[in-house]
Amino acid sequence: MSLRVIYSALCLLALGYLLIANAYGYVPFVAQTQRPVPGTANHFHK
Amino acid sequence: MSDQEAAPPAGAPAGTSKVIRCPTCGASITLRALGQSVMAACPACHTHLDVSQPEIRVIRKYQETTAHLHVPLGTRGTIQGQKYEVIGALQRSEDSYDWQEYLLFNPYVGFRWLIWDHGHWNFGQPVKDTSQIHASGNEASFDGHLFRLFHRGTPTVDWVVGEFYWRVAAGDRAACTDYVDPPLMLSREGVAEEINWTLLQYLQPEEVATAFGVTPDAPASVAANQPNPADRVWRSIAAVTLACTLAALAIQVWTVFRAHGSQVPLGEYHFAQSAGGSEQVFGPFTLPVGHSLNEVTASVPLSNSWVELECSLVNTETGASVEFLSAFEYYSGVDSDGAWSEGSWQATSLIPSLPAGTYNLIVEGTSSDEKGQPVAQPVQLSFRHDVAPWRNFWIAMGLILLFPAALVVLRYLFEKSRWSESEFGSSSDDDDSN
Repeated sequence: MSLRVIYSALCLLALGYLLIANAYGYVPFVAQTQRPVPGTANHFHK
Repeated sequence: MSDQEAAPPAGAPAGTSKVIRCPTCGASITLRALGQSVMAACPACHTHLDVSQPEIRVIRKYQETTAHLHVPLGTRGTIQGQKYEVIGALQRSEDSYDWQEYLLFNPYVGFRWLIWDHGHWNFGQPVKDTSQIHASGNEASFDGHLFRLFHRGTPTVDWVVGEFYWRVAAGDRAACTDYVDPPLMLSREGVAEEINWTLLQYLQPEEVATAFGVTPDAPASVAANQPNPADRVWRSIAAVTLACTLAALAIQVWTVFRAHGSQVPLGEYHFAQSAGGSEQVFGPFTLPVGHSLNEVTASVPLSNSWVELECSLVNTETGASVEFLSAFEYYSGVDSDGAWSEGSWQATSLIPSLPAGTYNLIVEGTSSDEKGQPVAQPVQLSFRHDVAPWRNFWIAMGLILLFPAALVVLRYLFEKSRWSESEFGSSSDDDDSN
């Protein structure tokens, strides 16, 4: 496999990541936790 | 290298050869460029003969040299679509560094040179119209190329075998100057009043091996006009790099234009002035865009104090919560080096991939100043919904440009290695005169 093919595949991977991550509002390296809180829905809803 | 009578004269008997007998040792010598060669060196005893006249005459007896030829005399090979025969070879040296020059002959094309330089090969042809060459200072231009001075020296001929179109003998010296523009090299050679220019082109060792059936030896170092391998690789990927960079920019521009970046008013968080944290709820507020990136910024003027906010963003419909910590500190003072400060008065937290819905932000904060008291001023909280992410763009650009960046480094190291062999390479190792 030529260097050009490998590099092209890497570039397509980068573009695919950019497209999908941006579309889903995703960014890496964010320290946070997500969890559902059963039974507490609308707890803070006025 | 001399270009004197380098081309076959009009009416020359094309390809005529003749076998003569060496008057010293009796060995057979085949003259392949009969009528054009003026001297021949016996391959057996290295006696130099005058073959310009019908009567063969000994010029000089020479019995010390044992020539080690990389391409035997009489070998035929095709270079750049033309078939040549090796008719002569000589070795030159300068400061204990030697190389070999093979004289090639094709009766329809004339004489050419094949240069062996410790695993590297060059194919040379004499420059006929030297008025097109402009050499000044450390540069020379010819045929649209700008050459850079690489080497100046006065090499000595060590030994000679075969036939030549000019008189050459061991011990001959010539002033040589080499200019390079890889893969080309322009070589100037001067003996007394006679100046000859030769244009050399770097040949891949495999090309010579295929053409002449020789075993390629591993190059010892970077040759003066060896093409930089990074340039070849760059030429093969440049279009991909450019296309992908433009595509990444287009995606990012589309993302920025698509993002709303709307501000959600939250208010101020007040620290409890007594022991224990104080929980405050901000909201509810509606975030209309699904799969959005959001930004929460907390700011308060600090003086040698810290702030820590434990935050929960709770969806009022599903109860799902996102928890994050916003912490920052700011210290300042004066020491022997003068005034100093560190830290920040604010912190920004990112909340990615948040579903659309109605949310409450629950904040419980703690803080302390240098006296251990909670910060008196309230923290300003702001919320930006659906902001454009940039981190993904930089990651993608990093992936796209990583390999070209590595090529730049490799190219620099190769040029550095090339110019380390030159006495004129100190001013700029990374020559880019292509």
